[in-house]
Amino acid sequence: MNRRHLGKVLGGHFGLLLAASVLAGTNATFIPSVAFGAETPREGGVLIYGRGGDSVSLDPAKETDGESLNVCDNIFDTLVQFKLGTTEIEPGLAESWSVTPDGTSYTFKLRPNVKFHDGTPLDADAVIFSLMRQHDAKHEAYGYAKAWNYWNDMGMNTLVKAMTKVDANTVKIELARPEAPFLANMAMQFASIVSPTAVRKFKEDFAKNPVGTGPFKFVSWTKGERIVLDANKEFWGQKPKLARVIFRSIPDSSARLNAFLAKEIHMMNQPTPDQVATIKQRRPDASVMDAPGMNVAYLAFNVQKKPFDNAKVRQALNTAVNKDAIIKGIYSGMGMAAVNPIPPSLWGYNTSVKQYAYSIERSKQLLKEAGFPNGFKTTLYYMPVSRPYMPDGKKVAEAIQADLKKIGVEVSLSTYEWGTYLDKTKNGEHEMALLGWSGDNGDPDNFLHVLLSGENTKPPAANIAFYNNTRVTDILRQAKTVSEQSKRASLYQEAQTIIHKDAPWIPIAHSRVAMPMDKRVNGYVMTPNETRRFNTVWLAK
Amino acid sequence: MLHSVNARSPWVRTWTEIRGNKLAFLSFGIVVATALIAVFAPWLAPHSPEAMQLVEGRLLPPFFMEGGNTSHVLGTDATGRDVLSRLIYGSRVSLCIGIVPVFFGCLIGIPVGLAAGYLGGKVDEALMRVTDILLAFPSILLALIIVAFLGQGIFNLMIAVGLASAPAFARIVRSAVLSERNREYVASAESLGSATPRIVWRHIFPNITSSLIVLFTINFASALLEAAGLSFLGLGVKPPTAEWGAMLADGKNYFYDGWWMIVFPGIAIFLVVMSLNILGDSLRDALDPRAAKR
Repeated sequence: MNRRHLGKVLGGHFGLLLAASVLAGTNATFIPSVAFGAETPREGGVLIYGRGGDSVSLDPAKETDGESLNVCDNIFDTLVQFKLGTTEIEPGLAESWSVTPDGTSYTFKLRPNVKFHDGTPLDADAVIFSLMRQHDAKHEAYGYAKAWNYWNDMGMNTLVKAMTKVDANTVKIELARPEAPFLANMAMQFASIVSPTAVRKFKEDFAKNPVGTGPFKFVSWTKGERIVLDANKEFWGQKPKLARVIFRSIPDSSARLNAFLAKEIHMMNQPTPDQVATIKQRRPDASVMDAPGMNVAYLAFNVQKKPFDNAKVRQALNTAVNKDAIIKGIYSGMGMAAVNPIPPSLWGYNTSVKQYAYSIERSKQLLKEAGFPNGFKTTLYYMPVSRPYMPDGKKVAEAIQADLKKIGVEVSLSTYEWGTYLDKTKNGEHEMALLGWSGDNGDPDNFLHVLLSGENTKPPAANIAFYNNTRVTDILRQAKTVSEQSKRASLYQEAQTIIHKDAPWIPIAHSRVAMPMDKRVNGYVMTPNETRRFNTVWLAK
Repeated sequence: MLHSVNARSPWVRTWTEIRGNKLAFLSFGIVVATALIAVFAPWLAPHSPEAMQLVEGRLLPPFFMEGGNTSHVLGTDATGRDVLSRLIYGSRVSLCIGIVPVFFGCLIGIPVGLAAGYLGGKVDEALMRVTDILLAFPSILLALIIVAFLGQGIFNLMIAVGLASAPAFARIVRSAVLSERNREYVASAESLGSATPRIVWRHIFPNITSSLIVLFTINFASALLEAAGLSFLGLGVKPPTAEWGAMLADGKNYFYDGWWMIVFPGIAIFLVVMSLNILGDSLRDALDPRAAKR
């Protein structure tokens, strides 16, 4: 759910717009070389990946949740793709592309001789079919989904003007206006190319019988239990070494840990930091890979409600929370205290913004100036589930509650079932709420515009602080239309300075994402956008 | 002997039975001790139950293990709170959410059972069908529905568990009344022209108290367990309130490296629930004339 509205604009890849593939025409791999050690990759083997939930469906254009999209990552390809482990764009099913100087017409040249898993060829018709089914209400497959969420959330419905087949292997897409992030949008899962033959055959049930061009083919799905994929030996890119991948759903986190310790699964998605410590101690034969997540966990004040309409109060509370203790005690050091709403790994991060230093005296002073010398009573919503950006919402909430008590602010904690929780926060029922965001395209807009622009304060709002500073909103809007990255970066830096002063959030942490795996698992690459693709992976004997 | 055993007051018989049965006496001792701990929690607990130590002092083991210390006798939890202090303070909440709902259940169940049993006919029919419907739900499910409807919190939790235990009271009171209402003393009261409420309260009710004492004890145990269960599911007390079931839920993710977080609250729940059940059992032996030992 938290991956919806993934930034209506991204960009920073303008340099690539006119680029043609360096590797055009070859069947070579684009995967960064991974140290495999002395061993040679072994063919075959079954990888079992344990995760916290089942997929909703396997149509990448229909779904917005990670558990659905991570399976689709292996079945489907996009015209362009994020280079594995980065947010750079590289050729995918399109081996090259060009764009007109006014930036409104893109021509994609497709990789020849690529076949879908059902044997039908990938051609211009298939590309147009896959995208137009989300765009054109008159399209034969438009009615097969209740809503094409991503397409609309990304603003593609108003952006795309026309799609035409130039020849069997060339597609031209015309836009209503120039849009810097268009190419990056085409690398996101919702723009996956699906087999039109299969969609016509299965209709709505295509989502249960997915057919794409990716490194693995769909075999079976036992609801709530497992999804089985087999290697696609015809894959156009780096051919998978594994014979089979099984996605097992184990929703209870302690049960998932048990399964990993008992060697029932090779990889364990979303361990809590304390579980990582347990794994390191109990399974010395396992390794734990970790990488900084492109994410942020935050506490949002509902600035439309008293007393949080007062910036002094928000600053006071920012000053009262001991983030370092939270990082150390609850994230077990697997993260860093957040200062800005975007992680420091993103371009445009403002390093001159300084943390509100933890000080109870200063905080009490600010509260007094705001007219609350004796504090006040309020409520805090905390998340019922563990997310990559926040391993344990309840503990974070308890720690904040204890911190705020010291300045006289009495906090009562509440939580709801996850779906209800998102609805309530989007509708602004909270006074304070914990939430977070995992970005997946590496653009600051993806965080700042989505989460803090005044344009996103209408319920159901993505800006759950309901923060509406017209200056910030203007800057963020302007940053969408400018094409030069350095100019955009300085706009985002200015926005961060204002946001810091207004303090609509307490930015809490940028977590590291950990992936415990059996020592036999080789070649896995962690990606900043939290995709899971297994064609580089092999299992040692 | 001037008195037969059955002629003594149920309270006297209860006490006689407890004193005469070692297991029952031990159980009684545990329940009383827990109640005393709950009452004197602020003086007994070595630390504040909510004081965290996020930087140093998380997941300290009990004192007898390597790395543990005597300041935190039973260790600390994942946010560095003292487990013993939380257990001590938790006894307050846990006993409360065991006993209050049972009173609440009595308050609804007893009048319903009395009315159904004594009045009979359509009233009985109507009340018992409603009771049947409620009994058809597993009580934990019924409590879940009520909590989901009312929202999270101690008070709502007690209402939920109480409402869920009411049908059982109604049923048992009704059957006790049915067996009493055809006795001679009821008939004589009726023939003397006593009003219905007076017959029910002054004549029938005292004669079914023994069943109620047993039921109360057993229900106390199951309410405590149910409330702990709801807290475990995250529907009970609000954090950071210490409660045994919630402590179990907090600890379950630390099964391997923080066993003390689940074992000690587990033992506490087990001891109190078992004691109440043993008490209930031996009370039944003492108070039920048909099951009484000779």
